[in-house]
Amino acid sequence: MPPLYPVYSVDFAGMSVPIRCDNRKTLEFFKFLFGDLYGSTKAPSLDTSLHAVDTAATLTISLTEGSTRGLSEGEEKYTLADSSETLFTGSLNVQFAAVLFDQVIFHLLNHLKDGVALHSGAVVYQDKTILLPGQSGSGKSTVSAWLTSDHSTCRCSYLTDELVVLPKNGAGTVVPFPRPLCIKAEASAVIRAIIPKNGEEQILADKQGAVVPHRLLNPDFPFLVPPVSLILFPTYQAGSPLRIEKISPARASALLMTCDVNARNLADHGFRQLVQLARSIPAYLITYSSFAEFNKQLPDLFAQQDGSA
Amino acid sequence: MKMSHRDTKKKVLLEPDYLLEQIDNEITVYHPTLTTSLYLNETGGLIWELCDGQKSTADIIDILGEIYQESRQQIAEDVINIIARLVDNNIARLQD
Repeated sequence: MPPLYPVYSVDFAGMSVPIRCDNRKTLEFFKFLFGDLYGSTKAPSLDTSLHAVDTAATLTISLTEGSTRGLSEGEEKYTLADSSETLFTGSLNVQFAAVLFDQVIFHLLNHLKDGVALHSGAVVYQDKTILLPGQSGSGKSTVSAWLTSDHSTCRCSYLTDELVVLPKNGAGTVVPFPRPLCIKAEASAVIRAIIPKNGEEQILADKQGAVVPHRLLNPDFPFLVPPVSLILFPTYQAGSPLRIEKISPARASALLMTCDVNARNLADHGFRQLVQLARSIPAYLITYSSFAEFNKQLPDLFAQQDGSA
Repeated sequence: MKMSHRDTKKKVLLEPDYLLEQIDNEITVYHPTLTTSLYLNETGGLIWELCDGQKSTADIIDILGEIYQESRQQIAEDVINIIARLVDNNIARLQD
């Protein structure tokens, strides 16, 4: 009889998604991706119904027998499945990680009603949280990575590159979804260049991009998350010089609504809460094509938030 | 949309059930059914206030043109652009 592995629970913002791993490699993969998030383990069991939680699905990552068509020689094929269907099949690569993150986040937020979930990176600079909201492709992960690295004169601590929850009545507090930085293929070379040389073997990288443990860029990981003090909307635009534009609360509100992930769960789609955030926190658009000028302009911007410039 | 001369004579109707917040004379609008959000600057906010279902684009241009006589041409362009944006985002429609 093969060994039974525990069912791990990914816990976030009061919601849980159980994940079953059926061998050592899948368990290592799971821990690599969710090292900051897995909480309780449950006794191994073959009965998924024992793991009913707030969300509907138990996800399973398993080694799959049979054809390895499309994979490199020696690569093993794995399957991600929920209780009713196969969600993805392939090697444990960057794409597998992306699909797994999408599934976990979907199930975590599916019934979340106690706050607004926002597509946003988040970092901490001098006891202040900076939000980096944006839709896919805006550069949340890339900017989060760079600000976290020792190449930034305003070196920040990392919270997330993807998702925060703003609790209802939270008064500027955020709950980040800490995960490894998921860097798309187009930005992969830029970010791999700022990773310490001895860190290359710790990242998962292929032609789809890279998954980078955030502690490689900055081992400091804040235990307590300070309130939000600044909102930066990153926009990658090829060839553009760095432009920083202060925007009004009304404009920031409209932009925040485009990053609202769980709107359908909330009576007003989170509109009033996001307007309140935009009213109380200064917001800027940052248009960039490289990080060359970040160190010239961001220190002044960050200092302004202290009232010291 | 590109607004024709005939379009400017049509009444501008806002879709119902939107959420609106006015901040410092600017407006944020969100429509839950359409999941569309829109930002209107101070000029856009004025135009929004005049979209009462009775007035056409041309009527709104006339009203604001009387108030801001020195920049009537600019006002006309702004009104047409903003109403076209509202229509493009399905937050307003034009009706004979």
